[in-house]
Amino acid sequence: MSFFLKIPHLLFFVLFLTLIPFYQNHASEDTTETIQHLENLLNRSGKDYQVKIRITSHTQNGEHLVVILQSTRDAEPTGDRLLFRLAGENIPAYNSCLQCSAGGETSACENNSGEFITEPGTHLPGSILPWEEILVGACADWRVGPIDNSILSEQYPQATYSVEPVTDNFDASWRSTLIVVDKITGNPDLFLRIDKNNHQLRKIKVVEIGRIGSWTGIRSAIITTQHGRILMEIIGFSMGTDSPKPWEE
Amino acid sequence: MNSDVKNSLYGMGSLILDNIRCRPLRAFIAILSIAVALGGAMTMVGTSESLESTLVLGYESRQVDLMVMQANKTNPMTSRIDTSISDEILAIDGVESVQALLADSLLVDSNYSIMVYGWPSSYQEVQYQRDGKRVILNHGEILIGHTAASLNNLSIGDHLELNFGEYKIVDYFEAGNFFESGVLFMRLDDLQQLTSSVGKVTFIFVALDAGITDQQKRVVTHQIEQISPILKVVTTDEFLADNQLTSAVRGLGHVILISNILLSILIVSTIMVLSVSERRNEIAIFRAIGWSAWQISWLVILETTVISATAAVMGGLIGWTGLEISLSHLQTLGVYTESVVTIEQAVWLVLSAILIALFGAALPIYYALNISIHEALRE
Repeated sequence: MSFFLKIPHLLFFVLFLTLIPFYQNHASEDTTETIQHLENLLNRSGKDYQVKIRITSHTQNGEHLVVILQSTRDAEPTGDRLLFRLAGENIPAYNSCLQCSAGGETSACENNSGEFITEPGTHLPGSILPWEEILVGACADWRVGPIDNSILSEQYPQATYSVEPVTDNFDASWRSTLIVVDKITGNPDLFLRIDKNNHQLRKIKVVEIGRIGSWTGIRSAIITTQHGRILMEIIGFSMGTDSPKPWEE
Repeated sequence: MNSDVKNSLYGMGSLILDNIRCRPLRAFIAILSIAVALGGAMTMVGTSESLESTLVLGYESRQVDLMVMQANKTNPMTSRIDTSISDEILAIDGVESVQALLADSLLVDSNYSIMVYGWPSSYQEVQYQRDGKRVILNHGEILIGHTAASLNNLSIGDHLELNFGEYKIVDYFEAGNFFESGVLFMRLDDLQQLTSSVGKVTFIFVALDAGITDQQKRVVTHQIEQISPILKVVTTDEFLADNQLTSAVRGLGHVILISNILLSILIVSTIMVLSVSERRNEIAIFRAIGWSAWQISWLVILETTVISATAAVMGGLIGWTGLEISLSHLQTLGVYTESVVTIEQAVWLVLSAILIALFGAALPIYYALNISIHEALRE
């Protein structure tokens, strides 16, 4: 057979070979992949970045509050530094600095020119967002796994995974966080904060997942607490921290 | 001589059609594959051009010559500049009028996002007819574009929650272009309050005096940039060239177009090599009765041309259908645009068909010309 006549057969063979891994990828889609996907969404890639978050609160009394939280993360050999600047109507400009230790502990920066709040239950100024929602993942990565508590599994059957910080150095007011995942996309729909009595403390509804700089993550979410609802939206993101620090502007 | 040429072309045409008729499944698969490949590429290119032309129409309807925004912003919608700058711009010689706009995406009923434009209350954009009088929107009132209303099943009198704020739709507004028809209009101070952007706007649109020269335009641009170092002034063309969405779709469209053309060449080549190999005896006879290498080559080229041309027509139809589907999908994401089919797209389609026909014929021609007459006739 001439070489030219072999070309079509060769092409079909190559096409067949390229289809095998495609089929295998789909066939092996399982819990491990969903866990990996969830961890990729929750853990940012890269350390130096600036992010701007708009926090809109709607209290039980019908009060409407909006603040902008600007955060800059500097990766330093002694541990990451997180600089926060909060701005909004009817609140004074607010600055704070956190230092992360290698073990994932959170502390105030040396020569901290701003305030530092870590008490559980304290709200971000100008909002009803508990500070701990910002602080808990500030210095630690998130680890996702199946729910290992049978009581929680029975009580919250819609949840399939739980997520915890890798290092347990933050004393949060909840004991577990359960995740309700969309079965088709594998994306998180809800995060349920569960207290030590297995009661739902807060609910976080994921509104939008999309690109944030070079990273894909949760762009907006609604947190429902006993005080009302909070909409958190990422409205700006840039890698690197070459531009002036929030309090140096 | 002339009659010989006509006879020769007629003969070739008959041979090509006979060959296609004898192997209809193969011809159909080849045509369909190329049509899908070209149609997919045309969908991408058409989507980017539709997005761009809709935006251009939008700026033309507002008579925008220059756009002022915050410098160093990858996403122009996150630009925030002081509203007061518009007065300083208006004072510059050569500037006829300015329009300040705050644009932001807000969450509707904790469910989906919609683009909202905030205009100063002195603008006609936030005025509507009530009881026969032209009135300004009150706080908590909004106007809705017809496209936004039909896509989101909203109408006058409906109440909306926008980023937890309560708003009532009081009227429709007549948009100058399709893109704006997909947004909501509200008072600038309301939107500033909702988004914590008091005293800020996203863009200032500048209309220049009629008949202004390019040199004068550059001077005005320089004078605006002198007001503050955070300002960036661009023409609408420059803004479109920087638009991430259209640039990304356009770039992707061209990559897909090139890769699909290569794929189509491969398909035509493969099909034609098979076809030529099955007609070895026939080609050997043609060579034996005196057909030149050129005539054999033309036979193959014309056959690939017939396949490519049919596929291009089908690809055009597939591309147009794909464009409609793509744009309706974009509308569900809040990007409103009209489908625009341009002459440029048709030219791309014809050029692609010619390229596929010529390059796809190369390998089968080489094979056809290397057929040994003696061996083929002995088979």
